[in-house]
Amino acid sequence: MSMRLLNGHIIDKLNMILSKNYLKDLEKLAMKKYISRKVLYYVFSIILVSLAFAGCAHTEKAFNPDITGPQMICEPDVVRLGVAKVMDTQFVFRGKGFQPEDSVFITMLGVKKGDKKVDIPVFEGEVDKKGCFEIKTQPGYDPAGLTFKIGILLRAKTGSNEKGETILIVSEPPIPEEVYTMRAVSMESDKKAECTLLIKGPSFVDKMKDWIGGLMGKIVKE
Amino acid sequence: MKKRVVFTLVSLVLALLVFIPFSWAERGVTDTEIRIGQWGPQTGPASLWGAVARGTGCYFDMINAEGGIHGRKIKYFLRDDGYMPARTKAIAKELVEDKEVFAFASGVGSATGMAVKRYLHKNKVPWVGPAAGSTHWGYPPTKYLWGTYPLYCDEATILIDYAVNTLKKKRIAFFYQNDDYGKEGLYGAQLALEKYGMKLVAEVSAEPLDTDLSSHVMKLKASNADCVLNWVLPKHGAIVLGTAAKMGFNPQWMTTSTLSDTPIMYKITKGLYKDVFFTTFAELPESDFPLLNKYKKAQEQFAPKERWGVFFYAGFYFVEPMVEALKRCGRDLTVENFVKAMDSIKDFQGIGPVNSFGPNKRQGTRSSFVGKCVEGGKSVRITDWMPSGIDVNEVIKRAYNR
Repeated sequence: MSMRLLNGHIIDKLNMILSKNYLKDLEKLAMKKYISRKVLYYVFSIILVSLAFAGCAHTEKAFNPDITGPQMICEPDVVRLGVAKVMDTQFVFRGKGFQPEDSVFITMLGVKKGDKKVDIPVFEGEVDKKGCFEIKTQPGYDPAGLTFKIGILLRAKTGSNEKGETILIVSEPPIPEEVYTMRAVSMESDKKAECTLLIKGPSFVDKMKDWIGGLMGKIVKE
Repeated sequence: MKKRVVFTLVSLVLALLVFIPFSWAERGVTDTEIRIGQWGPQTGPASLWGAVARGTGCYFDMINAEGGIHGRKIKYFLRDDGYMPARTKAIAKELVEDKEVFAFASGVGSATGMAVKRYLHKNKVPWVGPAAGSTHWGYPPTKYLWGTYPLYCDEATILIDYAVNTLKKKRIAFFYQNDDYGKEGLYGAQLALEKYGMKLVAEVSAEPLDTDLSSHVMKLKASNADCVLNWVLPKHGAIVLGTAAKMGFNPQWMTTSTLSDTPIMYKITKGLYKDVFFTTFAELPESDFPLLNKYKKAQEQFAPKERWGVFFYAGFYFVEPMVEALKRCGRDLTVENFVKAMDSIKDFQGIGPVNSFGPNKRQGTRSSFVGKCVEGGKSVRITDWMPSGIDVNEVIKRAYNR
């Protein structure tokens, strides 16, 4: 990835952070908690550096041209279980080779629930005239991805604080870390396709973000 | 050589004779049972409405205890979809292809139902009484689907008529969920008011995840509305009443049938639900309507742990015509005969409004009645069944531009 693109990526992400009033909130927090501007500077430097590396690691996945039957790809195919990280992730499931104008549902296989493993349908969508589908979640609290992100990956709940803002309440461990198979099943034919989603523990930066989220009252651990 | 050919032919004929009876058998129907499925949220944010699916189970238990239908018992498959369309799809596929159900009964939710509507139609699976007042079921009519829930746009019209004609309200506002459910109510209310040369003084929407409704209430208050219709989730129905009371905003509140479980609403609003008017799809829990009393006895016998509430016995009401059609089919129960039997139902009276169907009329009713929540969360009936006269096609045009 060129430096120009990389810089653009960093600026985009920085703008996203600024637009969310994180800086404003953090400044208020710093005043409140007597954290020096120097500490804030270091925290932001670490976040920016990791965002830059995250940007470098990203390459759009493509379908395998050698497969003629149905296939599916998932982006990202690796997710770290930081609360803020998961909430800000845009999941995209793309499929091709399905029956035109069919519909599909995507099931996450072998999710540990108590003593047993269960298969959980998580997304559904329509197949277009060319036999392709695309199912997207949006970053943040979007209805399409809410159950998947909060209910299935983080195993958290939503609540509200005294300002009436939506907060996340984490009271149990998230989904176990492992490689999960995501299976797209056709409704009107016997076509199926699979891909994998690797769930990993939170990185240092993810933990930092969640710590900040906790200080800001956006993430509550019970 | 000749012997071998003859042997092969005889084997083929024998094999065909063995398999032919099976290929003739109707999916989900045997000599002794009829398989019927339903999805419904037993867990998750909409689990309050999951009582519908359990109510249908109780209704079928009662039918089976009475001897079944022409010697066949109903085998009922209830699955929890958590109000998630992806799960509804998986359930529909499992119940049609593995359990081989003959038909689907009810099923809570517009989005969940829409996720499987085309699949059920393509597989020729009859589906009676989706538990949502959406125009998606009957407009345009499709061969295997019949709606019994009064339309949300019709409920809005009936409330507007009552507010204008009886309560003499002049400034009516509408608070709605920003989806098909809310919008169909909104456009029904707009059309009903246009009839009186009036307009809504405010149209305020909420997203399902909103938890703070202060700004919404401020907009409603600023409109100086003397009456507000609520077309939202039960939790929003409770929050908006509480927030408005704190802000000193006290209009006449009115709500859709989805918020008509008054004992629950009264409890979660700590009494603020008193005097709220609502529309509904079936007799009230305290009614002495004979058929409702019979159903209440069935609940005491087959589901004694269930609360006798409107959503529980809605599970009876939504599928009463289905049982009627199964009876009309006699022993010759096929999908095609069932379609004819459903379409032959005219002026059918169960515990709700009268339902009539036909090949081009798949929305069984356009009527509802107005009730009122009184002290302690009980409800009283205010009007008789009232028909709605609005043009559904105009609502569809405004809501979906089709």
